[in-house]
Amino acid sequence: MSVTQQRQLTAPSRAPFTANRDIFSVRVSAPPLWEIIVLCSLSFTLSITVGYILVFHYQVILDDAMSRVMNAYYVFFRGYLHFGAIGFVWNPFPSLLEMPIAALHNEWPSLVTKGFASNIVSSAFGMVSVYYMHRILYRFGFGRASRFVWVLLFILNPMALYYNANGMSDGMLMGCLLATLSGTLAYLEERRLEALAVGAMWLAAAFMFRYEAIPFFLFTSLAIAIALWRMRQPQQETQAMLVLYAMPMVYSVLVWMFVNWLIMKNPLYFLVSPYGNASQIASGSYSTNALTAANHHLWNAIQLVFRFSLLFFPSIIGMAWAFVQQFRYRPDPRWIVLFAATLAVPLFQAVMLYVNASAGWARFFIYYIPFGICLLALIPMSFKGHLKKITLVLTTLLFVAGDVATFHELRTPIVGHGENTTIENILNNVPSATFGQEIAVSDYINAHPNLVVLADSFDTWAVIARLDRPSQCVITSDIDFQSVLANPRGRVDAILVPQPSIGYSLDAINRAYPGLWAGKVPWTHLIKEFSGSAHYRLYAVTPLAP
Amino acid sequence: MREEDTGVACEQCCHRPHLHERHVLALLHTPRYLLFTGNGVLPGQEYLAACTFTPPLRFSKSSSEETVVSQFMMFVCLNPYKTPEGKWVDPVSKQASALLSEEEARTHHILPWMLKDRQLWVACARTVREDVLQEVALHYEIVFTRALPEELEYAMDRVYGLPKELQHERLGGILLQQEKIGTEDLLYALQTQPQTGGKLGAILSSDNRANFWDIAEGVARQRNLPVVSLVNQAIETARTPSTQSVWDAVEDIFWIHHQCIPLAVYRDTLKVAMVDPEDQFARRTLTERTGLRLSVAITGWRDISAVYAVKYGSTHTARSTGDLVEASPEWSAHKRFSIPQWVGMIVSLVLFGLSLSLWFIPTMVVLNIVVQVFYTLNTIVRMAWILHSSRRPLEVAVTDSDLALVNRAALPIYTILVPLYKEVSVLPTIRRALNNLDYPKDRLDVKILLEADDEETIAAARASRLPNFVDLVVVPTSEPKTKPKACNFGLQRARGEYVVIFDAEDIPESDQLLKAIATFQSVPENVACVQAKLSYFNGMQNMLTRWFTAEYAMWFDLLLPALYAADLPIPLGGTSNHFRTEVLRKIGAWDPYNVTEDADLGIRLHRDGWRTAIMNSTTHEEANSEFVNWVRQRSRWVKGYLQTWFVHMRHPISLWKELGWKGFFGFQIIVGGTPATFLLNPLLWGLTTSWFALGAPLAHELFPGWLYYTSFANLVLGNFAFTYSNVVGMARRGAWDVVKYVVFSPIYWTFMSIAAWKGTWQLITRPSYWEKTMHGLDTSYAENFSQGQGM
Repeated sequence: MSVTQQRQLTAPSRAPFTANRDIFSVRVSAPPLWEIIVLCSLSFTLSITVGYILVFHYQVILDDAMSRVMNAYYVFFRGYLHFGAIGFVWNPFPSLLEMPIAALHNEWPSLVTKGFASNIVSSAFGMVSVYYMHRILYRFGFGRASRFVWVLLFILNPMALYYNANGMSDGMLMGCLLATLSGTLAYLEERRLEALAVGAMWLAAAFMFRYEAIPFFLFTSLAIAIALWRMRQPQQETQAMLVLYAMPMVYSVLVWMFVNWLIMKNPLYFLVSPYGNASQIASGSYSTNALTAANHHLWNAIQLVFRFSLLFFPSIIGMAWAFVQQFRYRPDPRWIVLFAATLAVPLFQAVMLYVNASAGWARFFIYYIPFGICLLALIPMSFKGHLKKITLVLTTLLFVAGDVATFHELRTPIVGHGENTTIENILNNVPSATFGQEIAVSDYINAHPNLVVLADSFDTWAVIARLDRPSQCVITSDIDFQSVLANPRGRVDAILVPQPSIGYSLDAINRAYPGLWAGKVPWTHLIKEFSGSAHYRLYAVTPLAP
Repeated sequence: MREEDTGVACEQCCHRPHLHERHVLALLHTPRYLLFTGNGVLPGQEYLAACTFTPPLRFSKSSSEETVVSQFMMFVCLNPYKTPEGKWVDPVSKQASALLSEEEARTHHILPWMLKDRQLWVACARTVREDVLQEVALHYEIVFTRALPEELEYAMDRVYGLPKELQHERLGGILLQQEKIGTEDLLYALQTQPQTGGKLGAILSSDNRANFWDIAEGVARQRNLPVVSLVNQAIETARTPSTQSVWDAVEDIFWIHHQCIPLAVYRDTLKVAMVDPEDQFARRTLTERTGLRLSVAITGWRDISAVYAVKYGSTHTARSTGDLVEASPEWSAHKRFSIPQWVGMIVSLVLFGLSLSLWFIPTMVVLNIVVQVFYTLNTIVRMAWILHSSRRPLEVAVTDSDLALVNRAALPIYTILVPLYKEVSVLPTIRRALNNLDYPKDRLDVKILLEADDEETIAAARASRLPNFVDLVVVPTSEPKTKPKACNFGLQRARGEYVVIFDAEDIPESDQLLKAIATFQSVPENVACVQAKLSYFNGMQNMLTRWFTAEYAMWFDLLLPALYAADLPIPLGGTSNHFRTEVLRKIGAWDPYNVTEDADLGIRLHRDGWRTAIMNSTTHEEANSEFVNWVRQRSRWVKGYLQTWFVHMRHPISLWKELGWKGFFGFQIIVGGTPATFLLNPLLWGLTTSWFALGAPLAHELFPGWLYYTSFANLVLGNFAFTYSNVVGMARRGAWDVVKYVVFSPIYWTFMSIAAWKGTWQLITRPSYWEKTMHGLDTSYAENFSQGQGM
């Protein structure tokens, strides 16, 4: 009698693989561990090295990455934990993950002052991207050589590498979405519910990194429904699978809204915050000709988002191939999921551009790269024999060409919007951010230990990061910030205010006292003026203040 | 096999040029006459291959008197066969066979077997004796066919009766002769016998084809022994003064195991009544223990049972409530709390009260910390178990091929205990469920345990034509009136090597007993219990049953297998736990004072060094579909878990030593943690709501810094983790329709909390009171099942 420990599902809805075997072949074993270790280590080493060079050599410290590190820093800024300080504009996970690293700022101040904590986290998520890219390719059935070369080409793609290195949340989201895609594909291939559940959890996590997770969720949900319908699965099963897929994501959104309501008393605060993207775009800070053309012109908006596919042009071939596949009888269900994943964020951006709610940065279209690779990688698997070998070589060449094209496009003003200047600075060895002005302000405050200053961390974060004594500053995340702003007398000695030109008009102090910087508030007097782009002025609060 | 494949003419029914599938199947599967005659026969396949089918040889008056049976003659099978509708058809017509005398037929080995349109079809085994049929041939056209000799003889036995010389040798023949059974019954028994290895009498009686008394009379005649009826003199028999020392010479279980009882002692002779006079072990033991010569009389099983009930009724009642209490009082919930526990609780309460009055906020914060740490650990550990189970199923999986290897002829007696109280409506379901079990019925020892004061159910059970292998055991009324007490009572009379409990409304998978045997054979010796999984057949009845089903799926599919894999103590489910009977008796069986005796027993087994395995067989139960009824059931469960926790925590150091640190920790999480979370949830939800919604200042003070974040993480992640694992669990079961409802299972948890507080209150006020759960609220599935449409 051989009663063995169970190797089959206890009560499987059906035997695994049987439903899909006639449609496509799939490899279900686990990829070799050493391959994963080698590729992930390579990715992390490369990303962190590039990140280090960017931050410490070229001074490429991006505002969005930095603000997330600062949000993490504010959590323990007052000496006790205050998670509400993470803020309710940006999704919280980047800051949460950066928090333990930022906590080491006493040992290495640059983790905060130069935001290097974010580079470490994004490099780690580069490993997540590589891990799941490798996993997807392995499951497609590719040999070691193809897997290695293609994952390597993904690691070396200039934009993917840049975003794995620069601490921005886009690279982190890329890792989460690839993980979601991997789980979804594994489910469709093997009907393994756990894979879909794990994918769904990654998607919920993705929402906590960036809001682009929502369109990705909607598009992939639709794709899963269509795929299951084409696989002739019962309607109840499709419904159940969608519940399984959606539940973590919906819960994630609800928790975020709950937290917004709990602390900001508005569940949709993250959408309407004065610091949010919408407010910044409405201020006209990021306007370009292309964005203006797309504003309330759907065709232009669509054209623009498709133009961004030039960031990785092989994705166009992949999408075209996937589109054609849809007209086949019983198509491989993976095509439609990959197709939906690739188009989800760009089409969402089309809508955002149409309603003038997007800055149209190149990074919003980074997803053409990983999903384009997955789409294109599936093409050779449609062939056999010599044709397969030929398409393998062609695909590899396309990936090489795609990487070169990415670099080229990043330097163009429209497709490389938001990156071209930085790239040029790097190429010309011009430091991007020196923080000279902020250092001057913080030095001044540090030199006056009895001075307590009110400052909006929205634009003074570089000052706050360099303070020796956090108690010298009342900042936006402080619970009494609004109260002090309204009644500063006796609670702060001075107010730090930037010139309310474009961008700085959103500063809370400028919004509360529009004439302060110009010296038109009678209960203040100028103590110190700092030259620089923000042109900070430090005003003393007199006893006449409210 | 398809009809076309045979390519032979079926002369048995329609004369078309093919052999019907059912006839081929009859050839392949019909038990051979060898059991009756001792002759051998070819296995079915070879049998078929050896036969050549040709047009029938017709009788002609010019042919010689004796012709050797030709290979060219048509072959016919004379064995009865089963129609697709399940009816047995005998191809041999008594009208046709009556045309030849028995003597001539047996002498010449020929048998007229079919009359059709003035054609008389005659089967020959060896030679064609046309001369014997000369007279008949004047009236009929004779058509000769060929048949196997043993089939021919068997056909003759059927139409002419057994030869006189055999009538006293074979029980089947005797019963047939006495018309206690029909041909069909005998055939069934003969068919079953080689598969199961049972005795003919047991097979016939267990399948209700003959009653116990008929068998007893047949055996008595076969053995030429006297037969005694004891049903109407059970009291006198049990109290015969001369036999009292004999009763005491062996353990009470001996009598029930060997189905015998002492009748009287005369000088140096002990007269015993036995069901099976061939039980040499019983004979030898009695001779050795009493030093008396044995004189055997035959009686029926019901007679034995009646005397046994009279003899041991009061003893068993006392034992069923007192065994555990007397042997290991510290392991029984007879006393709610031990004295040290009382002292500990009082001291703790006093200290807590003092502390509250002196340092209210710090005390509450410390309490809050304890609660949050417990919650965090509880969530982390449970999720780790669930994830472990999700990755690969951890239970023992018995496959179909494993089952095929089980030697059915060597299967032991299996006792099934079915406690029943005021549940008349589920009797048809029980009958069908028991009949549906794939286990030799002659080795099933089913005890339906009825309470003496439940006259309605007793009357209904007696009238419900239950199979003969089912015994109705009436449990005398005594306190506590609980299910475990009834089970203990039933266990005293269990004959099985293994014993299992099924609830009244249970529908176990038909192969569950075989799977349990296979599991017991494959796991280490220290596994004393195999727990089957439980699920509900009415999961879609309403929202409550949907949530209940999801909860069970997580508990039995994910949590318990993880505990098994981690070698942790397993609180047994209330039903479908299969035990080695000997071990169960040894550890004192169920605690009659514990209202979750199953959970308690699981822990006691583990403490005593025994283990429980989980297997991949499911019993379908009826989920409670009515809220109040559900609260009663759940409150009993919570009360029982608390009872169990207090019982085993009387000596925490011993518990630690016996379970090890892992087991001790697992016990706290599962047995203590389960009711604790139900009890604490409403308090914490209330606190959270009052803080978030009303901004209660006190709540703010109770959650300083990190404690607040830990609590928030518990609230957000813990609730999600458990809800989502329920969703995944249901999807894994393929219960697609339930999945979407499971999303709202946190509402169900509030119900659990209501029940938990009720149970806790009852622990204080009525600790051993058994909140009866009403079954039969959803009758649709059970009705379908009992009518043979379910499953």
